[in-house]
Amino acid sequence: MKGKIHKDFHGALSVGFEFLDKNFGKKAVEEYLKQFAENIYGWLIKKIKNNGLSELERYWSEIFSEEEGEFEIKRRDNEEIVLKVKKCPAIYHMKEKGYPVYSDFCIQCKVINEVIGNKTCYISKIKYDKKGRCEQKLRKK
Amino acid sequence: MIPAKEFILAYNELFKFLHRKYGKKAVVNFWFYISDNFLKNLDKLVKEKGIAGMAEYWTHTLTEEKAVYTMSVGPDYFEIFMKKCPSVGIMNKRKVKKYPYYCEHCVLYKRIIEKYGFVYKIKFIDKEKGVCKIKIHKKREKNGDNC
Repeated sequence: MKGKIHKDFHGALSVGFEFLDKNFGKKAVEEYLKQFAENIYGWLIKKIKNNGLSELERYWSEIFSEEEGEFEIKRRDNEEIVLKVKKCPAIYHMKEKGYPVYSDFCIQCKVINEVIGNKTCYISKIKYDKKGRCEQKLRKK
Repeated sequence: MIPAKEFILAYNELFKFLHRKYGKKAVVNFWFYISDNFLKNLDKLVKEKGIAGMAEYWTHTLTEEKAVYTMSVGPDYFEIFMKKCPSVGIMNKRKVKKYPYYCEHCVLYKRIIEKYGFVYKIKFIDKEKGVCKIKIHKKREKNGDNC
């Protein structure tokens, strides 16, 4: 049986970013996220290399659906994929529960997508408003 | 977005990152920071309801995290026997390299619990399988009359 997703974890992660930034600077936040992406998303990078962007589409769909985000994904074969997030579940949950949201919480998606893009020959671009809306794009180099 | 289900992996990587770059003291300082800045709900529950608040907090979190555990609650004690820690389970399943002191992060609860007249003890039985015991009891008043 599937349990409920423990969304409070987003708040704990946000506090983690805040701790890093406060004590060691924003560069430490980025460096940490790079390490995280390289160590944890190897499986996804491998899948994208083998099967193309449909794997990233599947992964994004799964995580945003599970956490009841509002989003839309458009993919042009293996050329380009665009994720438009209208309601980021992490930011909305933290706001709803009154958790402090780290000022650049969205940097996680920027760094993670860059790592994935660099390792799979895609250029990553991201625009976000820090309020729970963003557009993430990966385009073939 | 790092999904909530991958948070434990992010947490573990953060401990490893802090230790590698700044030493274990930075990791411990981070646990204290989490305790002071994130666990305000636990703080409020223990402050207002004591042991009943602890039961409320851990029933909620451990159920959502799908832990395998037993909980014993009495008028002046609270115990959790963790048979399968969900965090350790996730890391074992994903075959990630665990931060060697990962289990020690549960000391972050001690800082809150002991503020309100309780003694918090944790015994790690099997760190690889995620088995441990948390024992909390009311601090006994010292008898000053030497009877």
